[in-house]
Amino acid sequence: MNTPMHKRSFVRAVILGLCVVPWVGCQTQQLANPTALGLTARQKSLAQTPIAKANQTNSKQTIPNATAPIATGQPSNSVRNPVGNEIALVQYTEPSSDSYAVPREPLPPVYSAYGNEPMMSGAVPGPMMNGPVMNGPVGPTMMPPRSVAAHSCPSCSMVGQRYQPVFSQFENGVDCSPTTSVSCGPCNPVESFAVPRQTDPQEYLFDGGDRGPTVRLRKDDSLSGLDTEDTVIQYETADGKSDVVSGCRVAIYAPRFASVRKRTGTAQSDVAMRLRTTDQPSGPGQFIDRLPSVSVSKPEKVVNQGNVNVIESVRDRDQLVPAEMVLPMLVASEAFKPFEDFSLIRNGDMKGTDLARFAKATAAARTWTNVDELQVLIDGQETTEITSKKHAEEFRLYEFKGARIRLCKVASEQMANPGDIISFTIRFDNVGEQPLSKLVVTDSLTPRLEYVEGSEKSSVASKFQTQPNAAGSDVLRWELQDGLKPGEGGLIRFDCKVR
Amino acid sequence: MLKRVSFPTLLVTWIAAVALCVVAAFAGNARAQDIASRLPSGTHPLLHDSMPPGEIGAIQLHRKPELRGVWQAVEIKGPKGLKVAMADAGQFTDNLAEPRIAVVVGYPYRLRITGIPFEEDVALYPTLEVIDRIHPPAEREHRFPIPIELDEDDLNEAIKGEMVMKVIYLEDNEIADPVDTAGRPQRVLDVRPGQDALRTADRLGRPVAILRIGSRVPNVSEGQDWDNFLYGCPSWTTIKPIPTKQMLIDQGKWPVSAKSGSISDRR
Repeated sequence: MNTPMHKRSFVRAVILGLCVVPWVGCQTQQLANPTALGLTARQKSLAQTPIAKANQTNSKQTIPNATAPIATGQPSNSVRNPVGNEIALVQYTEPSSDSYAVPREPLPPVYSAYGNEPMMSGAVPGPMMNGPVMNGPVGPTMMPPRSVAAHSCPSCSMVGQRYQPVFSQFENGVDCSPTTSVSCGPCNPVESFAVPRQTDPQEYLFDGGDRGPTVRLRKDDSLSGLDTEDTVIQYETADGKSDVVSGCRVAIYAPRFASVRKRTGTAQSDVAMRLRTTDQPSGPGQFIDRLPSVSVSKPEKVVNQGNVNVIESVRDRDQLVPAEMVLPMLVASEAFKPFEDFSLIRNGDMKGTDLARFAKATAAARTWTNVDELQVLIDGQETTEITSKKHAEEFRLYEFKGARIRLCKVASEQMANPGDIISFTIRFDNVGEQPLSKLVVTDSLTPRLEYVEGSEKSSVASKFQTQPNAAGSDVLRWELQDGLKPGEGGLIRFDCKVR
Repeated sequence: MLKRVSFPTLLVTWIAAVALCVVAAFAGNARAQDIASRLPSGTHPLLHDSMPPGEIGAIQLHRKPELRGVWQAVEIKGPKGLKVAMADAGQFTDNLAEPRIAVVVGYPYRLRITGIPFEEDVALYPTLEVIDRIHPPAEREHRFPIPIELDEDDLNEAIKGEMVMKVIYLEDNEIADPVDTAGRPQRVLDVRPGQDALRTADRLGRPVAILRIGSRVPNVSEGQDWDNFLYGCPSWTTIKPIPTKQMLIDQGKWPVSAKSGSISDRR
């Protein structure tokens, strides 16, 4: 068969096109709604956790109408990349709202509906300091006292004399707020509502950690993905491998206000305005009786709220990275300051008594609600958990073989106003089994922090330099002249002025 | 075994390839538009700055039930000598010694401002509406009031008969201007009368308070509803001052330091 050349080419092009059309279509769909796809994967991942399965089972057993769609009143949580620098898989549960709860006091035990044994205290999303703050009038969150035993709703509990929802932000939980269409027995007659104390990340200054995109190390030892607030340390191992890691993050309450002004005037005129014509409306020609609808349909759940404009903008921030490992420090430049009174900073030992203070100092804006054991893979290898304590904030310690460095950062103040000076302390330790060299500590300051010239001090010999970043602040860079042997570490201090 | 391809064959092949790429792009867009079509096409803001005092706060209380009954500290600042009085129980109080008060979120408040520089006989009656709250650490609410600043331009424009509206917003720290604001007046962004100040403030941060100041004065003699003018006198309260060093020393909360410099001297 001698087919003409142009016909064969046309047939090839058609076949190629038929292959390209569905592929491009699929790619376009993924790009069009990446959040929904990631959210679905996220929900599937969370649904596989044992606690989530247990919750599903319990809800099926105890709540008759739990299978009906639940109007939670809050959008599900935003997608967050759980893959860190070296941690390949971390399963945890985080608050699903845009606002975060501030851990300020020990969480009260939450009584289960199936017995008087308290459930996990760390599973409560927030300390539940609800109601009107300060000494104002009692708001609608007050309700008559009610005993714990008489209250059998699995989704709320009594703390003090106030009604507290426990898992109101869980997707499979039951929210007893008035916006909920699901009844839960004893909660029905409660006309009040309670919400956890919320906060807004916009009111905080953050410094430290590594918020997305993740900082990467290029071949020429320069950094990519270094955003404001990021604090990282890069190193090179004895076998020539280079890497960069980040540390914990510090939150400082420092709101700043500005205003938008609009002036409008009135135009003066001597011309009297009057009606030119009037139309006399005629009466209605007919009456149509409208009967109430015989059926009421339940509205569908909102598909996506991405483009709805509301008067607020709350941004998600990544979680802090817990510090880990324990080795003593060798050299300190001078006496320790009061805000550095942590065992981790002083001698490199992490004590259980410091956990609460450390968490308060490093993550005042966020608490975790871990309900499941962590499953961690580091560099593709399973690690051995040697410390496991349940607290309001999870702290895990893993043994790891190979090169490893720890970076920790604390601040002298937890709240500040414009003009205040804040001292930062960065502690780094070689907690691995290899000597490290070519260490460089880099800190990109947030736009509202201004480095105070000459305030930088380091316990190890280093070359310090600053350069402006894209946000209008500075990138601080310490290039350590000597390497760190296993067990060695150092301190860096500097001051910043709040703008 | 390369065979020479004629120009018409090459042209037809290229046209077919380009056409298929266009079709593929349209097909992809069509699928994407199916997802996008579920969203409302013409979204509009729920709130705008032309709403009367109290309406935005009422909508905020409806949207955010957690704001109901919440007190928020505010601090009214102005030129030196400015005096502020609040409406309470159907009348204005005496001038506040320190205009740092706590108001209920969502309710409009009527203020009386006197002591305007070079206009001693003039009194202005602005309205203040706190539409959102901030979340300072517990027991530190009085240290972080929302600053309501009035400069001389605002007062002069209001005396002339203009309506000045200021939307105070919480700056987003990620996109905040890297400028030093310590000890300086609040930064103000002027917008045109046709622009929405509330929406502009929302793009820059989170609006928390609205101040409207004009030249309107109460006219009780012509039958104006005085209680309506005062918006029913919502509750407010004064807040404790930020302690100075001397106040802490008087209260015994300042750490006691050694009078002499060294241990040997104390001996």
